[in-house]
Amino acid sequence: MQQIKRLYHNNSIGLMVVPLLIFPIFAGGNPYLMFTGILALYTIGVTLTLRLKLSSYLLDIAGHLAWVGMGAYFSSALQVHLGWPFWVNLIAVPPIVGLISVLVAMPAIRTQGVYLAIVAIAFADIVVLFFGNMFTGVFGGHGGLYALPGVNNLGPISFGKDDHVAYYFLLVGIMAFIVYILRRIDRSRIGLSFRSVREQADLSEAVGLNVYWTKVLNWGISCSLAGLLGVFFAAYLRAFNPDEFSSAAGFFLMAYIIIGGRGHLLGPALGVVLFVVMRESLRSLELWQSLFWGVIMIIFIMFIPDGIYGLIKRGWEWGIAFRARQAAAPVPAPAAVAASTTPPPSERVGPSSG
Amino acid sequence: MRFFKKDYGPAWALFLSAIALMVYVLVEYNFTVFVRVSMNGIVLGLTYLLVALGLALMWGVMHLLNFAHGQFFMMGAFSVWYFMVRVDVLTKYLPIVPAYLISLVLAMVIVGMMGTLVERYLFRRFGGDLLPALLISLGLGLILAQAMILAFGLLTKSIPTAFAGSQRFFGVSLTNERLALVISALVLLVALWWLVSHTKFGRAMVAIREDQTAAALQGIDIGKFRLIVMFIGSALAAVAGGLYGPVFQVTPEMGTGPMATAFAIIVLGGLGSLPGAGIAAFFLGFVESFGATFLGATIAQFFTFAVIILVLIFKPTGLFGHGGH
Repeated sequence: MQQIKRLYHNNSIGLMVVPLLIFPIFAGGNPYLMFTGILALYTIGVTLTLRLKLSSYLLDIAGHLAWVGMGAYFSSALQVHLGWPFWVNLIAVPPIVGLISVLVAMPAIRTQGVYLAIVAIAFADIVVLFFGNMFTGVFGGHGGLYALPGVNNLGPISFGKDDHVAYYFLLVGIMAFIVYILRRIDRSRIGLSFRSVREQADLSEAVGLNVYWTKVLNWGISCSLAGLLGVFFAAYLRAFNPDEFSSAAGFFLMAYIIIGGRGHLLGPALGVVLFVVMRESLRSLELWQSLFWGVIMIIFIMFIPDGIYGLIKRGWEWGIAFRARQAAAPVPAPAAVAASTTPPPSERVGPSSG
Repeated sequence: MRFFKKDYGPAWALFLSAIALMVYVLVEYNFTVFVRVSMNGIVLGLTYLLVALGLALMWGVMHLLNFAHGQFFMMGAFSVWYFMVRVDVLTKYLPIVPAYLISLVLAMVIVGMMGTLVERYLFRRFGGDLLPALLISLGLGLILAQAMILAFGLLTKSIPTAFAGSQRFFGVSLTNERLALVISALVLLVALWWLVSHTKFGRAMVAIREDQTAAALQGIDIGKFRLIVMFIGSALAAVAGGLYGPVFQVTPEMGTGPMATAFAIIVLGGLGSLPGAGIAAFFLGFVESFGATFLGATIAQFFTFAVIILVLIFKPTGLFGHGGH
């Protein structure tokens, strides 16, 4: 028991595997639940890659979905027109997207903060316009692509239209890869340099860190991981249009991160889950949905600035402190309670408040 | 000679390319086409400028990127529609021109008050922190747009024009309502310019923009200023919406396009810089009008975004900005 507790405390990401594995057991027969769950998991992935950018203050507040779109379009085009199987695209497309993103970032990183945000939004809109208007034979124009072949069967595992469980585990594998990379970055020298660029850019430059290339590297990693999710997105949905990757849709990723909590990898996941649960349970109140969402955004940012993750963490710590206080407090004799209504200061401080 | 400084290179490049576009139209087509394109560009540019100036003021004084500004614009148009069409007191007892002007003023007051309330109770506690205020304004924008749909339905509204008829300039006809838009926007711009450059209020505003702490130490009440600036900015958005409404249509989504352009304008001009916003607004208005006439709307959009990216790459703080944020 103690070991499980310690595991949960030190490795809350690892324990997320349990709900992820349990989910298809009770939802496997229900296509609607599986579909919602898969799209939610995909959104969590995209949000996590955006969170990497924010870790060195690359404020891509709305343009991040363009890189997902790039992955989706490239892999579909390669699959349909060149006949590349999905599994090759899964490996080949993310580096292509990453290369393009580095080429874009090399001039764009010269701008900072809000200016970079506007450059990213402008670039995202250019990408959407490009896929909507150029090479309509390959990219399908404004109507988008449809009737895509999906994932090629892998030996005995078939990826048909209704094989949601297969797609689910494919996505879980992709997510495990992404989370592994993000964790490794988070705990390595690269992650440290990403964060130091955010906190003290001048100081990092002074101690010998190349701020410019650090930012470009961050941008490239984040965008290529987003492209990887795009490859999956195209193969799973088999139909999409350029507007799904527009900057208007991209703003919501930011909201997931802030509402879920910026401090931890689990934060964005919690934000996405809250949003998906809310959207699906309010299906009948279609008109009120964005009103509710706006109110929730404002309430969270006003009163719970560290997000759902922070809320849970505070509750957890409060619980531990409460139990410690209860264990440490001496059982007062009834006469003593009657004698003094306010406890002496030594008791009020308690053992765990420090 | 400060206009020839090396820093202003991109600004000059934009200006010269705008001139080159104009010369191209003059040579390739004729004077009538040129006048039509320019007038359209001026109308669009002035509308965008009214929206963008509010944003620039807000950024200058309180470092706020207000993504609900487009909804303030929309609320302005809805207020005018409400007083002109829904409540028929004004139009029943008054001729249409004073009724329109009164509803414009009412829209300014209502949306301005809304802006001050939002500033006081939502934005103020975040000070200069960018992301929370940005997300709050996004949420507010969602709420306002949805509230308009819930209150007045999804159907497109139209405001009856107060200024019927048209004028001819150089063989091109310009409807009176567009003329009214241009004239009222110019009046507002001159008033704003006078307020910023010739009054104690304007000097205080510049002081806050340069150094908030020092300004506070000189006895400027920052909190009061934030409220006033928010009022002015929201009222400008509202009046832009009220002027734009009769010319185009009134829908709950009408604010998003002008707001996106206005953000591009303030960033292109350099955040917080009012002259920069002016130049960027006219450039984008002209590009949009020119593109829509000769190249098609898509290529014009493409061109606009490309210009934004290029200018920011060569001058990362915008045309007249200094210091990154």
